[in-house]
Amino acid sequence: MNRLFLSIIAIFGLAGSAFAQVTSIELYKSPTCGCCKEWAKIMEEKGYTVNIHHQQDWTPIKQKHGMPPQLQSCHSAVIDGYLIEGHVPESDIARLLKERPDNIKGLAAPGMPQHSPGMARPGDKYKDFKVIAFDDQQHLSLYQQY
Amino acid sequence: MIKQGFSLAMLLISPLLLASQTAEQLYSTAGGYGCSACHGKYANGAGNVGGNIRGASFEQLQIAFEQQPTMQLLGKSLSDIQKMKLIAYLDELSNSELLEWTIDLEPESNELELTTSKPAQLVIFNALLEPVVVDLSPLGGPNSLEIAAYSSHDWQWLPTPGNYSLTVGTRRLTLVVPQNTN
Ligand code: HEC
Repeated sequence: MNRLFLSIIAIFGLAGSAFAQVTSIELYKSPTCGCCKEWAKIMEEKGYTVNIHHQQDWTPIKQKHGMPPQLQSCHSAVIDGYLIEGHVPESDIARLLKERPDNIKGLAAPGMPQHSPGMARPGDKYKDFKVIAFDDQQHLSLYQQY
Repeated sequence: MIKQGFSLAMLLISPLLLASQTAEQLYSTAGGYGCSACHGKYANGAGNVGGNIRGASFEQLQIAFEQQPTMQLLGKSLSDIQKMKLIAYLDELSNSELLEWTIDLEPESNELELTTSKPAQLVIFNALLEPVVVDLSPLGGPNSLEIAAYSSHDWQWLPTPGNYSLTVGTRRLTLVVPQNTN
């Protein structure tokens, strides 16, 4: 039933966006992280609802979603069952939510890339980092190169 | 002058340093994400926003905590003792010469030349999305060290003059240790 509804939206394309639900994000960050807030702000501007949770260490959330530890950044977000680690651009998240590939558990922008959303100065071009996808076997693949 | 005052302070607090978490742990977990998130696992920058901070002074750290928007909140959450620990750790790292090798699709061969006679720390970053195996035996290390996809690993050794060659598949790193470094 739900699927049928979604297909109808897909068929009507643009008209569909008028029906589009607000997607909510559970954002797990440390209280001392400021750049995480900048990323949250960008996501809110793009129309997502962001619920922020504060705690120092979110390793259990990362582990629960099978995130390979070397992809770590400063914050983790859970969006519609996917784990999004760090400063991943909204366009990649939108693509993930639209395509819903079976073999991807989440996306990460590892570390703290200077020219990524929330780190770059507003309006600057995103560059010099990778968005990496991981599956449930902890295999990595390149999702987007900036 | 500042340096002397600092050493004295270090002496006074050294029993405390031993008592709790190691400086390395603090470096990799401060604030939850660690200094490493922005300055790299070995304080080598590693392409992250904060850059290389090996050998930074206490004063530089204080200024950064005051002036870097991304470090301000973190600075308030750390005690002076913790900050001194971090500086001692960064100082210890700077006693080795840092050499960095990134294994990626390009280039196929790299050359690095040592410029000091300090102990050396080679940081190998595997930028590929699959694991690689490195033979470190020319540097007295294991002959098949596996480095996971998109991970880094370091190896420390005392360099003696000569040319050393490391290979990963078809990729090669040549390390040149000249005769008279100072
Ligand atoms: C969220 C990112 C972030 C985190 C976390 C972070 N830093 Fe920084 N740090 C920066 C940036 C950005 C700079 C400025 C770099 C520049 O100007 O090139 C900086 C600068 C510094 C400097 C000054 C370097 C200089 O050349 O004067 C020191 C020292 C430093 N950081 C130490 C630390 C320590 C120790 C920690 C952990 C307690 C830490 N930083 C955590 C982002 C960060």
